[in-house]
Amino acid sequence: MNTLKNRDEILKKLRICSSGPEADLSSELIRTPVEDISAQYEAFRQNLVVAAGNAHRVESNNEALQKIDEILTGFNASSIALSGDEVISSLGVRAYFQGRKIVVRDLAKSIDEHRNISFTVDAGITGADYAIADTGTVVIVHNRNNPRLISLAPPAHIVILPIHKLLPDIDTVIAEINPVTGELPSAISLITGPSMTGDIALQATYGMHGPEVVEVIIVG
Amino acid sequence: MKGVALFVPCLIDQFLPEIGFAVVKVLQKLGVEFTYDQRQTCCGQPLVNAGDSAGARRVAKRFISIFEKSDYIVAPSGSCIHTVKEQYLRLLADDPKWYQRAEKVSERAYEFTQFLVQVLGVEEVGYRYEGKACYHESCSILRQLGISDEPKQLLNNVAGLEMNPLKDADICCGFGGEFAINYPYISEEIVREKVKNFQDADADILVLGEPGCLLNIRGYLTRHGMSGQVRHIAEILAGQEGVQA
Amino acid sequence: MKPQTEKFKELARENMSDGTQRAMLKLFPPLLKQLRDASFQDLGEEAAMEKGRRIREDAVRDLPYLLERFEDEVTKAGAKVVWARDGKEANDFILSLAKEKGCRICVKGKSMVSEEISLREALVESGIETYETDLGEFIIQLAERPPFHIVGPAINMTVKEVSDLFHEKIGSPETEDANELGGYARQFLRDKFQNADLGITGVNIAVAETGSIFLVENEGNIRYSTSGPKVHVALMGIEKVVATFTDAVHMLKLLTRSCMGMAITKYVSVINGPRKKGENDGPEELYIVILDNGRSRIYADEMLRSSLQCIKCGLCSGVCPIYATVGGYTYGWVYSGPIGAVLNPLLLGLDRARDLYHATTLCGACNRYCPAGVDLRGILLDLRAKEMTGNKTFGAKRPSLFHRLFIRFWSWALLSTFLYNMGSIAARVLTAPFVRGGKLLWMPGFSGWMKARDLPRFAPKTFHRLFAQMNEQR
Repeated sequence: MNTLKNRDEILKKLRICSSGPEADLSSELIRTPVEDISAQYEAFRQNLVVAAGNAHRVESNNEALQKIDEILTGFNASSIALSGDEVISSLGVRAYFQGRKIVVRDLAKSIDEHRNISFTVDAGITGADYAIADTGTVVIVHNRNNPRLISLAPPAHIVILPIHKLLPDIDTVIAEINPVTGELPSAISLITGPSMTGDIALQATYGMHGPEVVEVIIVG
Repeated sequence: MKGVALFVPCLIDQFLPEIGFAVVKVLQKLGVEFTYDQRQTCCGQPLVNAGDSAGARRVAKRFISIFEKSDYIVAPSGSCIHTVKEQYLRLLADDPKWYQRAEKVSERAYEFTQFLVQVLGVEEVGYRYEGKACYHESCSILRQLGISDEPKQLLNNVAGLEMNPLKDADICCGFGGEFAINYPYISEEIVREKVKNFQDADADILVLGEPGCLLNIRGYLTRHGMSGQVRHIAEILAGQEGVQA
Repeated sequence: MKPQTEKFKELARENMSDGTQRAMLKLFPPLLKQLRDASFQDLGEEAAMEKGRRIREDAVRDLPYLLERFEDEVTKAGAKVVWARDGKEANDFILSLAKEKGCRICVKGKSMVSEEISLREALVESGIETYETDLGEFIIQLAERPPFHIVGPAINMTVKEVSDLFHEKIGSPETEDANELGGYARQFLRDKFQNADLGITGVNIAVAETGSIFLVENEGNIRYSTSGPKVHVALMGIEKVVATFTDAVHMLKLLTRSCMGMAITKYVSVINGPRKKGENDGPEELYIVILDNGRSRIYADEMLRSSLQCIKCGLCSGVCPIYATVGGYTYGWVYSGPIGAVLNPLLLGLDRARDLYHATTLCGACNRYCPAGVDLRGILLDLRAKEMTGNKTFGAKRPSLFHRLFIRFWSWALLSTFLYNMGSIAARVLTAPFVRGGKLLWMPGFSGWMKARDLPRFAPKTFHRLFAQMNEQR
């Protein structure tokens, strides 16, 4: 098979019937202003709860750590993995859990180590680049500090993010990411609560492949 | 009002002429002078549905020639009017002269209740009809022509008539022309569901605007010895005393 | 997937007598419709639908240019684009790629186009351990069945049936708990996710402006398939591309609502190329396989072109009275419901699937609810027209001579008032022996009607005649 030849053949067939392009290939960015941040948070929390997740609002990093502790104790977590997100790094998670029976793994150096860690820890703790109030979604832009598996493979996912990253809707988030001029990351994940399926007789099951527990802690 | 041409669908012409006379009675009550061109036969819809574009095109041209001099073409059927308004344009798209003529006819074609409400501005015909009824939204009238408020408005204003809800009123009755003949057991399931909803409704009369739906639903009721009447909306609007046929 | 579209009538009978299917069909479509309607509350349904239709119409109009731009952008990001004219070329490429890269375990996300070309079967045959990872697809892969519904491939199977299936195929304990069954599937597949070296997915939406692909899911299997294995192959039909990123986001909103009544799915992955340097997960290599498989031929036909606007949300099935009666299996191939009635014949040949576009009442509910502006109703009529003329491009066979003569006769009768009136008289005379109690018991060619319901006799006089007589009396 000659892919270039196929390409030309297929495109030629299409071009005969198409006289274009007429559309402008430029995203229309729409921003909704944030009005009442507390109302935004409440909307986020409600929507996340409907999606079988949970949200918490705390005032400081310290309170965030306490909340994490509470959550981890709640399901007897014995090991956690941290992403390299700057919010996580500045939290001081390792120091907080010093001397406790919880193993804290920092972001792995190698692909294999990262994979092993992700598939064995009880909880992955990450930041998020944005949160979306009207759907209860967190948005993670992936890069070397923010890998993918850590929010997917562990049975629990805990997210920490500052409140100024909470935006009203997906359109505003896209405007921030700015696909028009910005260079896009390798991947972006939009996560709304725990994983789910209804594929067996329409009965809802959580924790299908991804995490069963999603807790979002918003600071500020 | 002048220049109104009545088009009577072939199903009504052949099986249900009383509906045609109900339309006549209503138009006369409203003082509408209309013509009935004896040359008319059919809009050609069965040919369109059968895929005979060539045949449908010939019938379309004949229809246009007969009706294009009228200001309004009115038919007690949504599927026929849809055929005239939409299918004729598609069939004659490659023939600029005929397309123009089809466009003219398309703009002037009206389903019966649409004509009464939108053109004549009538909200109440004025005849009395006693009973409890519900309304089935025929696919061609609701979805192909976008008509829903008009028939309901007219029915709500019929003295003596109590209009009650029908579950899933907007779901197809299973007629589909050749479908009911070629896939009888599937069609039967669909009409059974419609009849069940009718039986569950607080109504003795099922009112609708489409002769095909009428034959389908009424045929199922009588075959199974079930109670309940099916009436074309024209028959309701023409009043309980009925029509001379 | 092997087509069984010729067996429509037989399958319809079979499936209509299947109690569990009927029960699920009574429950699922109305529920989905309810959820769908509710989910549109916050969006402004009319405007949002109109925008969606325009986006897809424009995208299909500009298709070759968008595909070129998409290829440019995704190649800049480090992916490789491969063009395949048909299933054989696509499968051959993917198989040889897997061999070249030494892939032994493949995890696969749900992809309708991969079913068109039987990719999974080809992988399995070539010795690669291949797992469908979407739970519904996983179940039907084990059960060796076609999908019941585009979104819920196995929802008609009872919990017991699934329990028995898992017990037999993956050795899990029997249970009456759907949650536990999900857990067994999760356990089984988790190991595969961890060790797979080839991930294959479809593409929900491709973006020309940025070279991005959008993938939606609720389970997490697609995120695994696109994060763990070192090679990711994304397979897409040529029609999947839209112009801009924000166009894609709008279609995303319509897709998740139409598909599942959700404002957003649990996971949306926006992939813009393979992993970047220094990243510890994501594929080393990303291949986008762009597949024609009969679509360019559809594109060339103006009446059929809107079928390529489809975003595979499955809502048309949810509102179709025929689907609600016969279920997904009856359509006999990859696609079911109204889009199945359109695509299966177009991709397989009209002659092989003629029942699909004849078994419709043309009620138009599909058109009404399609977020992508596919003129399903118009295309179904056009397929009938193509059959009548024996259209070779799409593999139509003309109806029988008898049928054609009958239609021809009918159409001539409608062209002459005299013939029409003569025909009216003849019909009454010929059917007179079959009239009992005001009902017509039999008429040639119409016996199907009488199977299910009564037909009244022809009215003694037509409206024509009665009206003329009435006026003569004046």
